[in-house]
Amino acid sequence: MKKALKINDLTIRLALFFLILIVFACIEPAVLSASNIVSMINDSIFNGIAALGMMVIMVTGNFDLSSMSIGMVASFVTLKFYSLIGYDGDFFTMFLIAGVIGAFFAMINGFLAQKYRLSGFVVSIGTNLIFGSFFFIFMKSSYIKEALMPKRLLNVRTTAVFSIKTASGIMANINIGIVVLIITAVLLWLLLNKTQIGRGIYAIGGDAQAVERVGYSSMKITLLAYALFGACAGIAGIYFYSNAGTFEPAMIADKGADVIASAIFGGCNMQDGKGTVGGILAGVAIITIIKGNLILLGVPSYYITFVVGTMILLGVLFSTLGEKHFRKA
Amino acid sequence: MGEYLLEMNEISKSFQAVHALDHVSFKIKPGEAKCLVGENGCGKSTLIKVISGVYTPDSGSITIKGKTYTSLTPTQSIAAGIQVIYQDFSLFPNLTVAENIAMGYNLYYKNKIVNKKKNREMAKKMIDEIGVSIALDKEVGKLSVGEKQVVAICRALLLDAELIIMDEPTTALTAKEVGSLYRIIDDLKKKGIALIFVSHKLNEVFEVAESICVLRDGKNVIDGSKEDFDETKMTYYMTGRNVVFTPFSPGKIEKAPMLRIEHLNKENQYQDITFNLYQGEVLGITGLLGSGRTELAESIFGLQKPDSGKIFLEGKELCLKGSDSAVNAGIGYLPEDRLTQGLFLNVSIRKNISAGIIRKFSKNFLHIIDRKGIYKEVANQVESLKIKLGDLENPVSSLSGGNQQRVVLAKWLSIRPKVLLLNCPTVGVDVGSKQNIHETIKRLAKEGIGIIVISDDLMEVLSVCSRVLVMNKGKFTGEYLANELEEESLQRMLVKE
Repeated sequence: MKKALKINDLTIRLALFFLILIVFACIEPAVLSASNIVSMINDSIFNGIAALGMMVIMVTGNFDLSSMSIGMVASFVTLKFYSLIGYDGDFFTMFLIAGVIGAFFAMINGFLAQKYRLSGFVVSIGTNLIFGSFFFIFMKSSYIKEALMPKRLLNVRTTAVFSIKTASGIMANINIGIVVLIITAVLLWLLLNKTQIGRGIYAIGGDAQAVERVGYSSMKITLLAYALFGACAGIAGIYFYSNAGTFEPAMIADKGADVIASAIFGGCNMQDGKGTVGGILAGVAIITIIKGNLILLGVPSYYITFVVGTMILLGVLFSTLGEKHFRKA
Repeated sequence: MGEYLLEMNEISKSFQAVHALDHVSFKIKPGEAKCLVGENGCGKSTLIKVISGVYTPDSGSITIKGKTYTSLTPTQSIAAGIQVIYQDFSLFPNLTVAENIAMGYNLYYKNKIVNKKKNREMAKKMIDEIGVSIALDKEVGKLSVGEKQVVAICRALLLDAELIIMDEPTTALTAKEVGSLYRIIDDLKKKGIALIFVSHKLNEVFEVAESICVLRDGKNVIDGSKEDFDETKMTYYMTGRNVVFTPFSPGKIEKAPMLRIEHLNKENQYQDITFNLYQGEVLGITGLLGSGRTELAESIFGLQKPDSGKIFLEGKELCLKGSDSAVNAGIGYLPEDRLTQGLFLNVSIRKNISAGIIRKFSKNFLHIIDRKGIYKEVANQVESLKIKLGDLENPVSSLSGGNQQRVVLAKWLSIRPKVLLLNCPTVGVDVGSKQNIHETIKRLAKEGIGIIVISDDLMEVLSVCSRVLVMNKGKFTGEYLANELEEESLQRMLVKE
């Protein structure tokens, strides 16, 4: 028992991933078909980017409900900005602008929470609704149809980094978004592990009071953490809407639960300043194969929601119980 | 440059109308270990915060290595080689030992990029210098308290500390860890590092310090070398009055036992515990941490279930299912850790005291709480225990340690217990309050409550108890009358292998 628990956390998650994959493959061999694997990878892009951002907030010992509204509002402002200057957009600036706007909105949450010593979670309950509605007060319509979307953004749907010919002869394309996910993950990893301020994000999650005593500024750390979270939400949001081809606020709302489930299954529990980029990617992989393959098997959507809810609870139990065993050992 | 590393002259600091520091002076030489002592609220922590740059003094000057300041900022203080090790160590449990040690250094020198290899090298050098073995890659949260303290000391040393201030450094340490801390302190002194200890424990003060500075009510009382002090004098300086600990002589003791414990057993905790408690006496149970003393107390209070054995109260066998049934039977328990187990810190004093009697005061048809009755009871207890407080509605956290402990006592006394178990009743309480609590215990015993005091403070055991049971590794190894015992022989019995 003791020995088994000393296995590195990530190893357990990867083992779980393959176990789940094998179980699905035994039920339905099509799970391992090229087209299904490609579609799983594409499905994980949005969730992956958003969950990485969620992780940063959870490492600091906080939680934020507003990630989907931030993604939505950052996308909306980016799209409106393009149409205002009459530009068709390009892959680089779209992620940059949406990321910066997302970071800005999230930093409002961070500032309020740190300045007035509030729980970030409580702040985000309010700002979630504000971000989700504010801009539409001034607009006739919150809907942007396909014809009015910046043309080149829509190319996200068809741009591939890699194509595989499937058994039926159709080409399966791995979407360009995977590059965005990889770049986000690498940059975030570097920032969190190789910079002193990035270590501060872990430190504040370990002991918020001691942070000032060793010479950090709590405000700087908090703002950075929220900026990273918001940037990820913005990038994920613009990817989502470009891929969808139209803009409608509500489309993104129900994606939030998967993001939280992925972060929790990736090893975040908001209590002890834990969470790694690798762990989150494993969590995203697990949630994606479970959800995607249940759909493939034709399981009704309520069952799937039920499963995601159960996964969140299991993820929390898994990480806290694991930690308790460690302490005893 | 004078002979002093740090000289503080005539420092004053007020908060609103309260003079926290009133023309206080303080000096320390390189390589000197000095204890800063005084009762709660005497200004010790304010003085420390002035040195570390957290507070700006209203007047006075600070001279460090010949350079004079009117006030310090935290950065100036660190640059001058001053490091504070707080009681909670201020470490990050989720980061490794190496990273924790290197963190202060990296932030001070504004290193933006993490260099894991260099962190490890620096940390290793510091740990080797101190001469202990701690795995560099272990998470700090998985270390023992003593090891955490070493990590905190290493972090301070890495910043070229010349003066290390330690706030209550031995509170959470085991006897063995305290020993190795003393050894580390000796090494530091030899290197010319000055140390300031803030401490409550008088015997510890005499062990480590060469000189002692006593503060009372924000004023200097005396500052001198250790040889000029003894415990009685020190107590006098701290409290401003003579505190005498007199042994307890019980009044009339009843023949029939009030509480009888028969062959109580719990695996790996305690074995074959049998004893009687008589009305009117104070029974001491003394043993080291880990001797099973707390487990035994919690079993008598129903918090832990013994494997076998019987408990009789006034001749009737008790079947305890949880603390609820113990309270109903008339047993009260003052836990070892009052902050987490005995009090609701953020809740008002009134509510804390009345926590145990709500049911008693709501025994009417609709279970409506009789607020007036409760208020009267609470006021009575506050008066008879002499709890110093501003307002009954203030939170308990606003009180000093000694008064907090009296609030816990008041809570139990208001249920009118037959038996009261007190587990280390004066831990972290200053010497004046300690005497007060002792007097209260003796008075309660005379009023007819059977009292068991569990403690490893031998002075306390000898001055408050009438009969002492020695517990060693889960077993009773001896029974003595307190007036036949001496502290040293008792000490030997506790540690006997």
